[in-house]
Amino acid sequence: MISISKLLCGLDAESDGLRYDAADESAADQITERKQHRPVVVWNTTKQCNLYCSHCYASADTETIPGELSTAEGKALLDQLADFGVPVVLFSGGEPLVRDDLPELVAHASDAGLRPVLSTNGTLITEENARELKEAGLQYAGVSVDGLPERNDAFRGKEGAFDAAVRGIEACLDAGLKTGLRYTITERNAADLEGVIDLLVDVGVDRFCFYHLDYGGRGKGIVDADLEPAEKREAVRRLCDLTREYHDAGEEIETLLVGNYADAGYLIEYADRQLGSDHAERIRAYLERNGGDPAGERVADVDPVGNVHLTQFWQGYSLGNVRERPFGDIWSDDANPLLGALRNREGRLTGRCADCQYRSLCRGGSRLRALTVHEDLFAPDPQCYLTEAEVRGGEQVPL
Amino acid sequence: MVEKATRTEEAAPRATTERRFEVFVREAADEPLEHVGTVAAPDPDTAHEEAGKLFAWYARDVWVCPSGETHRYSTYSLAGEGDEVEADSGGDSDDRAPPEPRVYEETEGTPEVGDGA
Repeated sequence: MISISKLLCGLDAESDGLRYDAADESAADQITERKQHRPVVVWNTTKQCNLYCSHCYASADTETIPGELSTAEGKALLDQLADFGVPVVLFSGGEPLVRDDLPELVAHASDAGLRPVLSTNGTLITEENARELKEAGLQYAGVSVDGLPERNDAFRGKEGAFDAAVRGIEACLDAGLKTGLRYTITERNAADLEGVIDLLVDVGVDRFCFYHLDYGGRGKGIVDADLEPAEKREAVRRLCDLTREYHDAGEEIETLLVGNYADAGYLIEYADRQLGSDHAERIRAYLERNGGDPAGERVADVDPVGNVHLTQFWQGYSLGNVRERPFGDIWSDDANPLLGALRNREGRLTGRCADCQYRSLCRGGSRLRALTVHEDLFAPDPQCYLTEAEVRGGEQVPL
Repeated sequence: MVEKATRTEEAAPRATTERRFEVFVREAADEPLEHVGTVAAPDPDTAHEEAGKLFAWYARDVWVCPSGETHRYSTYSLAGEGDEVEADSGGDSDDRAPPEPRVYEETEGTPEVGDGA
């Protein structure tokens, strides 16, 4: 997760302490001296969802599946995560709000010392359950919207989903819950970026997370809807420009990019051209310490039946199951050669990644996309949009 | 006399979308096979293909075994004694019922649960 607003505009935001969906209340500087040691854990609490989104990485469906973790098992898992030192647990799905024990689980996470945050489609949020979740200790709600009403509803498979999500956002804000947008950029909705931000700023949202499409779950089936690298570059440039325009106008919105660490190199190039070389060097220093694709290190996923995955998007492979071994044992298992390779991947990267000047910042980007497209774990991320000149360094190209 | 461990069968399914296969790999002929997780695949050949993409750079041997036909016995239980899984060794375990099924009731504010639209 890369904060455009922090890197380009110096906005210290609530998530500064951690580069994921944490809503840290501190105003500490983002540039930390050490990397995050334990992963943020996404827990897909259920497979069930009331929507059917075309890009759903979890391939969520309308019903639960046999073997979903029970309330007691969920609490035991949360205790394990807390004991292991996990800083944040992201309750996800499916749609986590279909679990009627969600407030109980959130409260248990909070009591255990975890920072509970939520990923939701927003359509089931009411004033009542927003208040209940806030009182249970929920720190942040990320609500998924993927375009203006017509496009969002088509993407999410349900007419009225946009309006319902906005009502959910309003309920969260009324309950005093920090709330942000999650938006997956594809060629189907890239044109709506500015419109959605403008609309939701009016609602009161000030945090916008833009996700690049990863190729897991149903996302693997719509690879052709992903933006071409040049289109991604253009979309990211527009977000950079838009963030600066809002800040110049006195609106302190937080904008973040997720899922494509070519963004790290691009933001340095952008800053170098637009804000000067000193600013670009400061950004590089930050990204050297905190950046890079987090798969297998700074993000983990536990699916509804307890399988542990390298990221939430990479559900085709599981390291183990928490019903067999504690989460910490699975995540720390040095005997798994894949974990070791991913955690020391820089020397294994091939193609243009091998000599890229930003290799230590992005660490090759999405290994899942490389695997999906090239069938090679260490091949370049097919959605890296940096130019050859930017990869080599020493020569400026148009942004 | 050696004290015997008390193990129970952990019979909950592993599949979320399609069948899963346990993956075992060995780097050299004189080494034991190591369990390195599971892959989702419809059949053994595809499972081997998927596992090969992840471990071909490392492994001499790759074994895949259907998770649903693997019986797991352990002294470990995620939620402790009170929540142990009831053993059920019959049939394809990926089709078995969950050990502690949750019951969803449509309540105010969740009118569309199970809607399917």
